[in-house]
Amino acid sequence: MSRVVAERVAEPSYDELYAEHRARVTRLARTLLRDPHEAQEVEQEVFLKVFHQLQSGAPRMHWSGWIVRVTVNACRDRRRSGWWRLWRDASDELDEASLASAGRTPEEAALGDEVQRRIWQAFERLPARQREVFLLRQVEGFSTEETADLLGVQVGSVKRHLYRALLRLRAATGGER
Amino acid sequence: MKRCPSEPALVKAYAGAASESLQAHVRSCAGCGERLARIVRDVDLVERTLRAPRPARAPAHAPRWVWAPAAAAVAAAAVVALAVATGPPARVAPGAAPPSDAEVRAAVRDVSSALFLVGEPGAESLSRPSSTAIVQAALAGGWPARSAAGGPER
Repeated sequence: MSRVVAERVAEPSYDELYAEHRARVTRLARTLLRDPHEAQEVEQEVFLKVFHQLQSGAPRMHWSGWIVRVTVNACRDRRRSGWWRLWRDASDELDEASLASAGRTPEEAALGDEVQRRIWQAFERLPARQREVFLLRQVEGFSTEETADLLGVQVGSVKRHLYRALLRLRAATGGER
Repeated sequence: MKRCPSEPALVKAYAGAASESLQAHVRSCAGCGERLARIVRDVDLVERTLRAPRPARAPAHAPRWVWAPAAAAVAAAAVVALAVATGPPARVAPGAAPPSDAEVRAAVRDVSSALFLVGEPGAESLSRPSSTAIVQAALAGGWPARSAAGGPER
């Protein structure tokens, strides 16, 4: 068992786990999957596994790492099974009107919306592994070692994926490539 | 004085994938520190964008090329069906004599009569197969044979 998952902590209840991790699971699933309905299904799937894990009386574990791993794997499975949907949606445009623009001038809003749209498009075009690494490392705040552990890859691989993802995402912000 | 690294090299340093000497240079160089700060700001913008709810997509509409795979499948199926229905092309038996000019003229005359004399004087002399005969003939793979009286067989 990996270092992150095997770390022993006090056994929480299902409700506590749900309250503590639901936001992260939702965020991960919605960022890794394009379809919000699929993200919702993944969320349900993950917490069903949490429930079964608790019921099974399995040894205590570090739930945070375990839940993240289960979520990322569930999203990966969804992406694999829904390849045709990704292909179909490849040319979908983001709805610019729905981007948040409160408290900004129309020019600022337009500029910000355009940058956000470009960032999301760049993120969606990243290879799956780069997306996962960037999310866990930069958005969820796991260390390089923890990210490697959660994804089952080498630390050096995490750094390489992160570097490539950063180059592409930074270009989307208007920064230099 | 060591040359300052390129932008990708700086990003590599930010990702922790650069060499120790490069990281040491970035820590000690004011110019590189400033460039690194810009990278940090850009990455921060990406992180904030991805933490916010994903913008909704445009109203569902089929992409222009979504029909392409379906059309290709239908076309392939049509080609296969056509090939099965028509069978191998008819072959002329080796050594068979080509039709004579008289035979060709007679055939052309028959076709011409069938096409252009319907409803006109002389059209009644043509054989008029019944609809049943046409169906039966089509199923048998040919045109209804003429009866001895010149009418269609029933």
